[in-house]
Formats: sequence, C-alpha cells, structure tokens
Amino acid sequence: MRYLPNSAADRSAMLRASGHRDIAELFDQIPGELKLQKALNLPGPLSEQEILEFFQQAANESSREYVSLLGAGAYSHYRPVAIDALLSRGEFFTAYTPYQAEISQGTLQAMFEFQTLMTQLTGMDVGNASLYDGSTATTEAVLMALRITRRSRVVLARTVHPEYREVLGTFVRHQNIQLVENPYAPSGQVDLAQLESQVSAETAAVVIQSPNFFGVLERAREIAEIAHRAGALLIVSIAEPLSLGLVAPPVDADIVCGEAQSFGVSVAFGGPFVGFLTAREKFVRQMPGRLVGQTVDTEGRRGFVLTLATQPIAVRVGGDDIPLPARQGRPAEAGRAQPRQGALRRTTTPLGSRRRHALLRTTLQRICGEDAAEFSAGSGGIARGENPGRLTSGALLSGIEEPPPGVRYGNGQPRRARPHGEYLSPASGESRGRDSGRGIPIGAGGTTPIRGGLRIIGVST
Amino acid sequence: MENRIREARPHVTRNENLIFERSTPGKSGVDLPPLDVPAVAAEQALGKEFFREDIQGFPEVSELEVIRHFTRLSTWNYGVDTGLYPLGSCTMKYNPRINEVVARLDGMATDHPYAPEDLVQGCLRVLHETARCLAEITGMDAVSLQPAAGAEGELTGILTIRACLAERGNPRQYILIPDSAHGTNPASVSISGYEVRNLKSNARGCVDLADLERAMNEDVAGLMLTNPNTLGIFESQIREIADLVHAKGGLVYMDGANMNALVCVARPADFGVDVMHLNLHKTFTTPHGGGGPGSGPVAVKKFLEPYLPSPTVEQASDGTYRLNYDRPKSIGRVRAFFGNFGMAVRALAYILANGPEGLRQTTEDAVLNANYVMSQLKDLYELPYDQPCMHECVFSDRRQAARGVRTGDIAKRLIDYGFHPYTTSFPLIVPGALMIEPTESAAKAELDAFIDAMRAIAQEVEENPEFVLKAPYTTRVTRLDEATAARRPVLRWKS
Repeated sequence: MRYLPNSAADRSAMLRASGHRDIAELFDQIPGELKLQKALNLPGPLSEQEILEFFQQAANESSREYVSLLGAGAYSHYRPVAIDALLSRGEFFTAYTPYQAEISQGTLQAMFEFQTLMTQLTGMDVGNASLYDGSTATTEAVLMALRITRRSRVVLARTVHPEYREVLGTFVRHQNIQLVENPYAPSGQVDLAQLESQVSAETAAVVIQSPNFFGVLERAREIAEIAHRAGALLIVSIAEPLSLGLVAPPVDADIVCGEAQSFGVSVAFGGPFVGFLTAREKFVRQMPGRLVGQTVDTEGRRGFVLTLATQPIAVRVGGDDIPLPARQGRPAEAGRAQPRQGALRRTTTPLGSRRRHALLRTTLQRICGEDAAEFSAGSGGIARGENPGRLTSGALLSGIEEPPPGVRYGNGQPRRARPHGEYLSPASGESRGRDSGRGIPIGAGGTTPIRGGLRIIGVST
Repeated sequence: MENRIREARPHVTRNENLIFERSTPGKSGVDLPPLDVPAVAAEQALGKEFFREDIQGFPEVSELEVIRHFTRLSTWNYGVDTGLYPLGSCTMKYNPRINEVVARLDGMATDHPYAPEDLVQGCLRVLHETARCLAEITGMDAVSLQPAAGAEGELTGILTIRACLAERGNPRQYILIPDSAHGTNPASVSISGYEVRNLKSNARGCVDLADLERAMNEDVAGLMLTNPNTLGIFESQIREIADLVHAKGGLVYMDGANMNALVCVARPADFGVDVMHLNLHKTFTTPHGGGGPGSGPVAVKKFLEPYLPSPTVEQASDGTYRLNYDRPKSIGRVRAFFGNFGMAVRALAYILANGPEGLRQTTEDAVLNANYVMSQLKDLYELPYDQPCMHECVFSDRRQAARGVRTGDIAKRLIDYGFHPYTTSFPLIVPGALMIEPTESAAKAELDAFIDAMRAIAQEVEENPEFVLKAPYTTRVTRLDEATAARRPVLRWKS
C-alpha cells in the first residue's frame, strides 16, 4: 500500500523491539468472537490512475455542461487560480487546529486577517474564524443571542433561507425556546407591522436575511429599532456576502453572520463551505467558534494565539413549526419551448462567461419582455424594477400571468420534496405576498417563485 | 544540547506583515472580463440608502503579493507534510494528493446542490457509495453524511436516540458518559435536552461494570462510549456493557473518533453499538486544514434509520440515485444541503486506494507504531495503564512534574527537536497526560528520531529543568502571552 511508509522488515523489527510475537497479539484485547472473520465487501485497491478514472466518470454524470442559474445560498463564482495554488500548500491544509501557536503562526495570522476582513465587510467590531456554514452560523448566532439576553423567544423572518431555518429548528427543538415566524409583506420584505406585534420583552432576537431569500434587501435599520426598543438583538444572516461589496452593511444589527462560500470556495454540491459570525464588541465573550487574538511573545514580537475559549453550546429550546420542504419541478431544456421545464440549457461545449450572460439576457427578455428586466454582468448582475424592495445581484420580473414557454413552475404535482421555493408556492398554503401582482425578484436569494413558483436562479460570474 | 537536535535545523523564513499593511490604493489582484452588456450604476440601482461607497481598510494588493504573503505565512506552519505529527486523538495521518485532485474535478467541485437529480447522478453516486462503504466498515445499516464535523455527528446521533425513545413513549432524561470521554460529548448531550451522568473508570482505564450497573436505569436514554477509549484501550467488556444498557431499554452510542484502530479488524455493530459517528478527517484521510472542514457521518442500526437527517440518498430500482425528503420521523436537518460533499469525495478516494487489505494493513500499522513508541519510552515516562495499547498510548508527566516540568513544557521542547507535540493534558483521568498517536503514516526511522528526542528531553529535565521550561528556542516566535490576549482581546487589525 503506497501510503504506508514501513517495510515488512521495519514491522518485524518494531515487533521484536516492543516484545511482541506477532501483530495478532496486539489485537488480543479485542475478544475473539468480536473480531471480523471475513473480508469486507469494499471496492479497491485501485491505482492512482484508476481512482482518477472512477471520479472522472462520476464527474461526467454532472451538470457541468449546463448553464446553471442556481443560487439560493450556493454561488458559482469564478475562482481565481491563485486560491488553489495557495490552498495546496501542505503547510496549510495538512496542519491541525493551531493550538501550538509557535509552529502555527501562518494559520493564526491568516485567521486574524479573515476576522478583520469580515468585520470590514459587515461593519461589525469583532469576528470569529470560523463556523461550518451559513445555516449553522445562523443557528450559533441565535444561541449566542439567547445567552446574552437570557430570554427565550426568537422571531425568525420567513425570508431567511428555508434550510437555515430548518437547521435552527433542529438545534433548538429540545430547548425551551419559542420560534415565531414573521411573514413577509408584498414587497418581499419583513412585515414590519407584524414584527411590531411579535417582538416583546421575552424576545431574545429578531433574525432576518439580507439580501433575503428573494434577493431583496431588508430595511435593517427599521427592524433594528423595533428589536432594540424591546431589548432584543437583531441578527442579520447573509447568504451572499459578495453583496457587501456594493450594499451598505447592516451596521444597526448586533450580530451579522452567514455564509462566506462566495469568497473563493467551490460550490461542491453544497459543501464544504465556510460560516462567519461578526458582532458588536460588547458581545465578544459570548461569541462561538474559534477566535484569534493578537499578542506578543517573550521578546515582544507580534504573534497570534487562539483566545477566549468557546462557550459550551448549552441551550434549550421548544417546538419549531418549520415545515418540511415542498417539491421542485423537474428540470429540462429552457431553449426549447416546453412547459414545465427548467431554466437550464444544454450546450455542446462549455460556455464562456460572455455567452452565459448573453444567454441569460435573452432568456430573461423572452420571459419578461424587453423592458421588464435589466441585466448586467460583472460581479453579480444588478437589475431593478418597480418593486419597492431593492434588489441586488439579480433581476426583477413584473406581472407575469401565464407561464412563458420554457419556464418551469414548481407547484406542479408534488412528486418529491425539494428544498427551496416551497414557502411561496400556493400549494404550501402561504398567503402573504403570493398574488400581489407585483414584481418578484430573482437572483441573489436564489430560486424565486413567480405566481406559483418559477425558478430561475441568480447569475453570478 | 545542540548536538541532540536531530530533526530540526534553523531555516530562513521571511518576515511578513498583515495583508492590510501591504496595501496600496489602486492595486488589484484580479481583473474581471469586460462587460458585454450595458453597465448599470450601482448607486442608482440600489438607491442611496443601500449603496456603499467603499470598504474602510480593505486591502488592495496585486496577485504576486497575495501569493508571496500566504506562501510566507505557510512556511511558519508545521503540517503532516512537514513531519511527524503525533497528536493523540487527532489522527494526523497522510492526506493523499489524489484526494485533492479528484475533489477539484470539474463536475465534482462544480455541481450545484439544487441542480436537478437527473443532472447530478455522479455526485449522488459518490455520496451513496461513500455511505455504503462506511456502513460496511462499521457493520451498520444506514449512514448520513450530513453532519459537518465530529461534534455535529455526536449531536445528530444523540438526537436520533432521543427521537427513537420519544416515539417509544419516553425520551428519558440522562446520558451516561465515562470520565475519559472527549469534551465534546457533554455539549452534544446537553443540546439534545439530556443531562450527563458520569461513569467512573476501573483500574484498567475502562468502564467499571459495577458502576454502570448502578447508574443504568429506566431514566437513562443511553451510554456514550468511545471505543477504543481515549487511553487507546479497547473496552474488552463491550458486549456486557451493551447488554446492560439494552436490558434497561437504553441505546449505545459510540464516539467513532478512534475508529482507525478497528477498521477491517472489528465492527461496532457486532459488539452492540446502535449509533455512532465517524470523523472522515481522522480515519479516512480528509485534511484537517488548520481546523476544518471536517465531516462527521452518522451510522445507525436499521431501527434508527427513520430518524436520520433529511434528505437521504437512495438508489432506485432502475439504478438511478434520488434524494429522499419524505422522512416524517427524521430529526430534521443539521446542515444546509447535503453535508460536506467534498470530504466524502476524498474519503471514498482513500477507501478505493486501499481496498479491504490496505485498510487492514493500515490499522495494524497504526497499532504497531503506537505500541513501539510506548515500549521505547515507558522506562522514562510513567505509564499509568501498562498494557498493550491500540492506536495511541498515554503517559503521565508525574516524574518530570517532580522537577517542575509539565507535559506542556515537554511538548514545547519537542518542537525544537523538529516534531509537532503530542496531545497535552488529555484525557483528564490521567493527570499531566502525554497522549501520543503516531498513526500508520510514521516510518520507523522517523519514530526512532522521535523516541530519541523524547528520551533526550527526559534527560534534560533531570539535568536542567529551567532550560526546558523556556522552550521552544528555534521557532519564529517564543512562548506567546496568552493571558494578555484573553484579558484585552485584539481580534482585528485597525489602521
């Protein structure tokens, strides 16, 4: 086996030196009847070439030849090649958590820089490094708010990524916590009037996403005022942090957290990703995850260490009413005028980014009419329409009555549940915001329903 | 002392400031292709309220500076690629390069989690096959790859126990945990709504059957056990332990952090375990990456399968793969999407490279290496549980502590000899623990150098303990002031 560095002679010498007859003797502590008596049914051994072939074949059964406009918390941005060149440094990727600071300064300084970058982007004072992903970061932010306020109610906007809400529900189910959902207004934003009535002296936090799951920016300042009047915290979750390059950060929030996959991490069928959590300075001692702090060594030189040991996760929560996801329709080829088909188009050769943009533009124009959608390429397109909720990184469609050809509607016969769009589809029984007749954004938030669930997905380059 | 240092030599590394201190306005590390559509004024599109003028302090650097910056930082790190990394319990084994290559293939790294199932059959097949292999290795019936790391795997496992017992009528109140357990165990128990009851270890460092019998009753949901335990000792009475728990209607959870001692030798399902997690970043060679990402699959017996996180990957009768969201008894999601898919790719590549024979040889080598180190050091370091170990051995610093030198000090001195330290002060049942796990990736020659270094340090402690207390001497920075870092935290750069 090519990964094993010891020869048969090495093994014999070590057995002799440690006073053992043979290898089997070392396993004597396992009772005989518990030992495996057969070879396991596992594939391999394969040579390196064969492994490559195996995965190449799997990779061929992928969607890589399709133009994907999918978003919803996982974004296919172009990744500069320098990223993998640096990640492939064995000193980085084969090192452990930097507990031995003297021989981990590379990791520690990089983490300190990540913390700084995230606070610069979010407008918060302190940041950690880091959490699993956006869904768990959002959950951790809620747990943190519960620790800070010692209250037990959380108001959660329905415009937060449905899977983030589900994960939160799983984590708090067995604690004495009440999760309350805020519906959304016709603008696709948090319903402020409802929120006023939902926030009380028991509320630990209000959780919103901005840009939200519809790609619409939330009015964080007004929401913060409502939360703060009751002594609750405002948590803003961000699934597409690239938006922070152009969009003012939610500085009125107390915790800004989310998903940083857009910053150079492959979409990789959903993981691994990277969560982030930033907050106001006064909450630093309640922050979860690892924190790197600057200090000095015995000679006075600058150095970095892990600091402020994590609070143990210890929370209690009550029932959650997070519904099971409904379904998404089948995909197909958008280019041919077939109903119930997805916004995906098969191409014979991989598309360059210009062709992608051109294709997206014509598709949108066909769907919406020439004037309804403005679209721009670049680092996330920007578009706008008449919707009062401002949009980022997406487009806005107005007043569509009938499914245009080539557009798939998601509320067709439910066949198998799929994780997105469901909260808006009429089939889910959702009422608010459904038949508003207003434009509905598509884009950064990912899949967006139009009148029952058109799903075109945000474009990014 | 200098002539005793065998592995480490001083090395030129460059100083490097923070990336922010390299910044000059107007520089850029990335050029975007020109727009081929009409430009939109962001300020106009977003409106004044939402438009951001600039990002205060954000670094502006060229591509070369980015490369130099992080390359220099990397040289300040010690990794498995650099040398022996005998960090007990962490299993710092070689991370095969082919794993990295296949995880980055166009089609593995690029598929979107919401792409239609028909178009991602390759990814679904990888998930399905990885889960199948892990089920075969553990003897379990079903595996969820959703948990993002070991700790989340523990939580997921305990939640499945709770869901199962709740359906049977009573979720119960307590989880039993031996005093040698990983620190993450109690946290997982607590968030699952249970309380911890500790079990004492016996003279062999294993679960005390009498204590277990006393503690086990109808209020106890289950036992959370690491096997081999954190002393590197196999719980040889595991069958009796499991029977005791099952007899009172409880379930047995196994923390699979030490599964690398058992692969292709024994299977948890065969010794009474109902649910367990694995750490792909330990046993199955996915990289530790400076602290992540990990992956903590959960494996269960058939009766617990309905409670696993949703969705699961299933193979239809026509051979195609499907995601099943129709799981009414599921504990729900523990992570968005399907878990750390990229880690499943790497773990499967590792299993494929080895096959069953290679995996067995790997297990044997890991156990042999640990026993070899133990045999060569036990005359100088106290061995509180003197018996053959599995994949790791645990010494105590009792003799050295009498000279004022503790396990953490010996660890720092080890750095000067060119080795990453072992795990210090864990498990807690051994005061001043030195927990050494060489893994199968250590060649005999490298182990001999490590043993020499440990022996030399033991001698230094006798001759000149003060000298050891100030180590390390050869690193870029000396011991860092952790107290000040915690008292007055500086967590970000400011201009």
